Amino acid sequence: MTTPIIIVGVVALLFVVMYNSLIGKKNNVENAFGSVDVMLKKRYDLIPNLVETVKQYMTHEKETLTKITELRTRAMSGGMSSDDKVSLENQLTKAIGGIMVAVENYPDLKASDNFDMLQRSWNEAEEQISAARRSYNAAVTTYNNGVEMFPTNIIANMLNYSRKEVFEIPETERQNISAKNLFN
Amino acid sequence: MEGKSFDSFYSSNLLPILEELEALRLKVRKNVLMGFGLGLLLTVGVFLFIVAKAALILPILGAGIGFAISYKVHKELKSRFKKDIIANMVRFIDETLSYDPNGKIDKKDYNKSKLFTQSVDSYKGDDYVQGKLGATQIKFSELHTQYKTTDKDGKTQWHTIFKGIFFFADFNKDFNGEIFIQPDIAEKMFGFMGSALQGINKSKGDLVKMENIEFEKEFVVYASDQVEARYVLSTKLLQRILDFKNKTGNKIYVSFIDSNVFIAISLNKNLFEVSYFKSLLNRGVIDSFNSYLELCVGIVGDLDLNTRIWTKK
Repeated sequence: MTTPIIIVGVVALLFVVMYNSLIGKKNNVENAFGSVDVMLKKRYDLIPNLVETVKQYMTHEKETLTKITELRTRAMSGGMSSDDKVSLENQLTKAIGGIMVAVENYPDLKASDNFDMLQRSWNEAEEQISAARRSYNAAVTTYNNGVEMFPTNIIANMLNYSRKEVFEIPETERQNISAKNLFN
Repeated sequence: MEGKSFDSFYSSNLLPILEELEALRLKVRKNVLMGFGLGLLLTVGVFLFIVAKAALILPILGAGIGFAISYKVHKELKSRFKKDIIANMVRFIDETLSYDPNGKIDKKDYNKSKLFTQSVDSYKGDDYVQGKLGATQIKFSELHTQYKTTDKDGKTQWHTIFKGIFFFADFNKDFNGEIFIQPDIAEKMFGFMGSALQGINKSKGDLVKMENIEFEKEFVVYASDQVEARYVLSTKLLQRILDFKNKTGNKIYVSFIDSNVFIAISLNKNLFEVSYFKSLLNRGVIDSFNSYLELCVGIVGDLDLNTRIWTKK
């Protein structure tokens, strides 16, 4: 008489544990996605300052700077599909990358402390975005394992959970800002 | 630091001193051996008259007496070896480095690393090197930490917590949390079950799964913040730490705390000392010490600590 009760009890307990672990994994993914947004926002916040600093020096890049400001406004307004968002991000990264290269032609700007700090903050923001994306991917991988592996996949099916896609993370090569700063 | 130039440094700067020191070493060894031989002769003599087990102690006693006679020479040899050989080798690697044969990593730094949580009863170390390479402050020394237990008979036993080289450097990024990298034992032994168990252990923070599969096989990472851990441990740094581990071939423990990096390299030997069983003119000994020095100083390059492109200068 007691054996069936124990079996039912154990099965119910296992169900609760697996159910909760799946919900936990799903929430981790959402949380990680949120932190990517936070890091992106941090980078957007740097843009006005950057544009303001380089504007006085960069006479030939006016167009690019206007474009950057425009892209930022669009990125921050929200309400975009994730594909659009990614493409916007890529354009923005590329445009800023262009500015960072163009700086080579303006020695005064390159030597200014203000710009040096901005460039450092920019690198930091990029590295943090990359870290947030990697965290998101790790959370997604754990979640996907839960969705696809036996026995949690049974519960995932009941909840209509499906696989999520990971970010593609581009590798960017970075160099030291200037040799001068190395030996301060 | 290349092999060729170290060769010429070796023959012009180190070899003449080593030859002098070798004479000292042989002197000490001769006395020890003579004492041992004397003891042995005595044993045979005593053994012929009375068959006693205690007679075996005599050769050891003899060797001890031999050593005691040459104790002064031994001390001179030891201190000159450090002062004239090891100190020179440190300077050869980088002129700005300073070397203190009797110094060691501060206990405060050891505790700050939080690498070994067992409370320490004996804290010993020597061969302390410190300096600034480029923008990066480094220090390292040999370290041996132990704790003691007392069994029911009142006998004290000493257990090693850590023995090896303890390295400290200023890290090139700012961060607030704590990150720990430890050799992965559970996952290696128990596979994904081990990994699940690691997730439950929260004493050093959350388990952080890294995307580098080779790295994950060797190490387990705990951190107070998932995103920050990945900010500090960029994909490149993961590879660099893995390469460093393969280069040392020993167990390594790494922690990142308060914008510093701490690295503990487990070793089962005492480095930078004279051995009475090996000639000082044996190049292998000097080369091995040199490779350990280069390994430690090389961490700055290996982990790319002089790349200062983040807000921390």
